[in-house]
Amino acid sequence: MNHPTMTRDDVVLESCESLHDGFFQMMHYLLRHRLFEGGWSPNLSREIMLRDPVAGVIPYDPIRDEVVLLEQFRGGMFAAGDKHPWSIEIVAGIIEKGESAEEMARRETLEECGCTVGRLEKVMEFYPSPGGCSELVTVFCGEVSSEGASGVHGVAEEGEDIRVFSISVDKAMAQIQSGAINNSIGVIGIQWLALNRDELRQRWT
Amino acid sequence: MDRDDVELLREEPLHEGFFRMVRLHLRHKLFAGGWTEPLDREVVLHGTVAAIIPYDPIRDSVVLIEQFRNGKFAAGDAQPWSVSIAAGMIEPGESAADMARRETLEETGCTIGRLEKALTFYSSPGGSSQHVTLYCGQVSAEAVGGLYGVAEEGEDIRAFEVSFTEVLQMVDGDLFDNAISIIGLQWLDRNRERLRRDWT
Repeated sequence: MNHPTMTRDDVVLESCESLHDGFFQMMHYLLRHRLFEGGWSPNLSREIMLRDPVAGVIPYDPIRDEVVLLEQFRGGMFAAGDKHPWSIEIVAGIIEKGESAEEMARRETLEECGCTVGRLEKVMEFYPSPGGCSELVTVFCGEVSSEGASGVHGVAEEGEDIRVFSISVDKAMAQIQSGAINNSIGVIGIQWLALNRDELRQRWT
Repeated sequence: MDRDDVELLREEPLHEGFFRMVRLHLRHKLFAGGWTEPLDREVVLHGTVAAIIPYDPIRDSVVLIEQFRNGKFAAGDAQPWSVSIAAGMIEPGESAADMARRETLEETGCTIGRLEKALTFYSSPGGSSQHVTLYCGQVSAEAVGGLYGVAEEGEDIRAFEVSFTEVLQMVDGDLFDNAISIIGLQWLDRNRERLRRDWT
């Protein structure tokens, strides 16, 4: 039995209160849920960070076999004490209200790296940290031309300062292994590309 | 650019509970030269996590666990239980490798033999300091099955064995929905032949 059997109906939310409401929202939940062996857990006290859903895009050029990557400052890495708080990533951004994940994927790829997306395929959905955060990421692979993908992009009013460059998929994989690419969206996207690019190149070229 | 290219102006506490949340007031150097205006960034301060892919190289199988996940519930997910590899927070004074062995025993009942560091990554570096060290651990999955977890911590964990072939079908069928498991199983897919050669 590999598939989860319990559902939302097997959880009772006793109370919830807001602990902080700013750019992010921190909540306190008091809840109980059904146990595998039957019966219910006691009321559990849990803190949860509420975050809006995110779309990520692997900008892939199937002809040059290159991926377009971005580098930008990340507050979480700085707070962790990282010596190099700039992160090498694929495209990602928060899905705005009334916008589909696909629309957002195309818009964000243009904004962050100046690339127009041709074909766009959904790769997967995942929670980066489902123990304490509601953030859900939908990852797409988008067909782009990496020719001329370079320079500095981003919305200055939002404090974005993004350096764009393109490298071969093999080099990107080597950067995962060396730890130079070390964020969940980027690692998942590039590992997926390494495992699926032969099939993708057949279909897209 | 590195840490010296960031100036922390002020750290404003926002919440102190199970998690700690702060607003960082800072500025940093720009790629084009010069500095940003003062920026404020909210960040959850989170401990370091160790995650383990419990792999049996003889049976060519992986040990997985299922448990309730608050974040999925808060997101409105219809199915707030999640299937994953073993993972937990590193306690002060404990090495990531020690924690990997302890957590695998607690969550799956498996004793780890050889342990190899696979990758490290940040779960969500825009708004959280959570950093994950991912290992692959050699286990015997023969006797796996049953319920685990520390009841006092509200853990209720079901452990089970899945053949590697079936794990790949589960990855393709979108059954894994958490970063640690997807990254771990993609890594195993790339390294499995070498591990079977070296570990058997």
